[in-house]
Amino acid sequence: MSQSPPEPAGSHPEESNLSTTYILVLAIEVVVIAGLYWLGRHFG
Amino acid sequence: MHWIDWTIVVGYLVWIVSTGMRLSRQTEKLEGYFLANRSLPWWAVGLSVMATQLSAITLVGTTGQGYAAGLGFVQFYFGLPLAMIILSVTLVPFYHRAKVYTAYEYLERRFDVKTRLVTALLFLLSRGMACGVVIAAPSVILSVIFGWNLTLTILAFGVPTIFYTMKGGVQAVTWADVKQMVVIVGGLFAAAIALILGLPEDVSVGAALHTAGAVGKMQALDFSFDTSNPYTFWSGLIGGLFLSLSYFGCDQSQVQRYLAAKSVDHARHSLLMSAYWKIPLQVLVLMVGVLMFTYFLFNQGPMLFKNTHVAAVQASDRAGEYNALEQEYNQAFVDRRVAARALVASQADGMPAAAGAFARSEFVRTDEAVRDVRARAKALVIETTPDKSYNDTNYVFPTFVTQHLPVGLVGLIVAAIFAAAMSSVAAELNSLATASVIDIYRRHLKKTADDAHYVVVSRWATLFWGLFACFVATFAANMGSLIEVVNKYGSFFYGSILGVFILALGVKRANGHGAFIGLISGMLAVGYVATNTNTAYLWQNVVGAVVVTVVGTLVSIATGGPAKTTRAEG
Repeated sequence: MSQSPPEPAGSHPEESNLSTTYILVLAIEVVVIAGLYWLGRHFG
Repeated sequence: MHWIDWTIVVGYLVWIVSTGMRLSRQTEKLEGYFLANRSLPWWAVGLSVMATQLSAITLVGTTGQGYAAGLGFVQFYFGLPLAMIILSVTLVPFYHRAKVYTAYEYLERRFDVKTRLVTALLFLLSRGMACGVVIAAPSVILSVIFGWNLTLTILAFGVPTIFYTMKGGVQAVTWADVKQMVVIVGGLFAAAIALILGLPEDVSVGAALHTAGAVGKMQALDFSFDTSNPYTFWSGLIGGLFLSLSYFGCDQSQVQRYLAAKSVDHARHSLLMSAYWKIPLQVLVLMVGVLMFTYFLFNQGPMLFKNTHVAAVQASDRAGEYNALEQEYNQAFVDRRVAARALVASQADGMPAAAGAFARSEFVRTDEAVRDVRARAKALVIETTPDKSYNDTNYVFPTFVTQHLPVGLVGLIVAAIFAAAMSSVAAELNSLATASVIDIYRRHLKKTADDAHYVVVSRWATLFWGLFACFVATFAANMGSLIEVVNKYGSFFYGSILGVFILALGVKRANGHGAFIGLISGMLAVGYVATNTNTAYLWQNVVGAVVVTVVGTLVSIATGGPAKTTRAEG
């Protein structure tokens, strides 16, 4: 692996492409942080 | 404890040990013992990853942190979801294709044997010590709260964990973790519900949270860019990203969890479970702390929560000072309770805004008075006892559990504290045994033997590290500052070891000399920053990783580029 760059997810036949899942993870984190911001504003 | 609570705790211990023993299959081969023949489903591995990270220190210390400082600590985890995605794309498939047992084994294929040896030894040293601290912290607290013998408490945590980890290897650890996670989350929800039910009838949850918000405890986000502040949005997002990359990607206690997954996809999904759930779970833990704050606004708690220190001061020649402070505290508590009720009443519909603002300022003033008298009492304890690093907040949650919860719930939450400690310790013992056998014993001491021999050695290695952790716990328990030293010592390595993996994966020209000298440089740089600047420890991970990557790259170029061309796809 030292001489070849990491291969993208899903390039091996047994592996799924999880791009949508990764976007969902980030979207949920943004929602959770926004929720925490709202908690601070509402109860602060 | 009531006999019903004892029955619940003992029943929990029997249930977990029998689970570990019953669900372990085909452990006579090394791959079965250490990697479950790479057969575990993503959800079991994911729960195990979360259980390993959630130790009793988290359960007891973080609830105390929520009580004292509110939700701000949650920012520590903001980099974690991004780290999980990066690891899913990079290291997870590399490890799986390379069919390695340990993260450090991979470094020899990429660099050389000395890089593997140094990183494995650093892991063994830091994790072995940290494992002792993981046992010591809850042992000290439970022994103080219940008056239990400290050594027996340490053994109560250590012996069952050593037993099922020795016998069943990673399968026992993982399946026990699944059940332990259920106990931990169940205990947290039970505590939160009990706290809400413990509020006065005329105080709603919303009104209680408004009182907590009035003194800043609902403010989770701090966007200031202050590198000396340990918990800000940026330190959590950037420093936390580096820490999570290092912990989940380069620490064998975590890597081994997802190496046991049945495929790359299962390993990825197991990490993504933490990406989804870690921050909400941490909010739950901290919210229990905030609810304890609101509970103790209306129900009087002690001035200080560590009862043995209170007894020590009251037995000293400064007892008079302490008793005077306690009288002052009683009055301050009553004043604050009146102010809290006035603040709650001011939130009712139709109340003028000026009345609300006045009630709020009165509540803030009376809360400051309570905190002031507590700070003076704590200072008196530190002057009177040898415990110079006394942290009272660690005793808030156990005191609430034992003095304010009904029979049955006490047992459930003590079982949850056991579950949190045992799940972390079991994973650490299992990974310590793996690195000892795979990276040291099989690599350097006995290269050719059958699997049966290595499995026997692995069981002895688990026993050795378990006893070592209990031994360290006994010393750590009596030296409060040692716990801090071990935690800081661990942070010296994390960013630097991550830097070695960044070199391995991201820098084509990196070689063993570069990785080795970069690693040493990174640790020295972190040591310098930690001792000579006021930089918060999350940023030290960034410093370590950057220094290793830069120095390692330069040294590799100067010494002629890569010496190996091994492909991870194995």
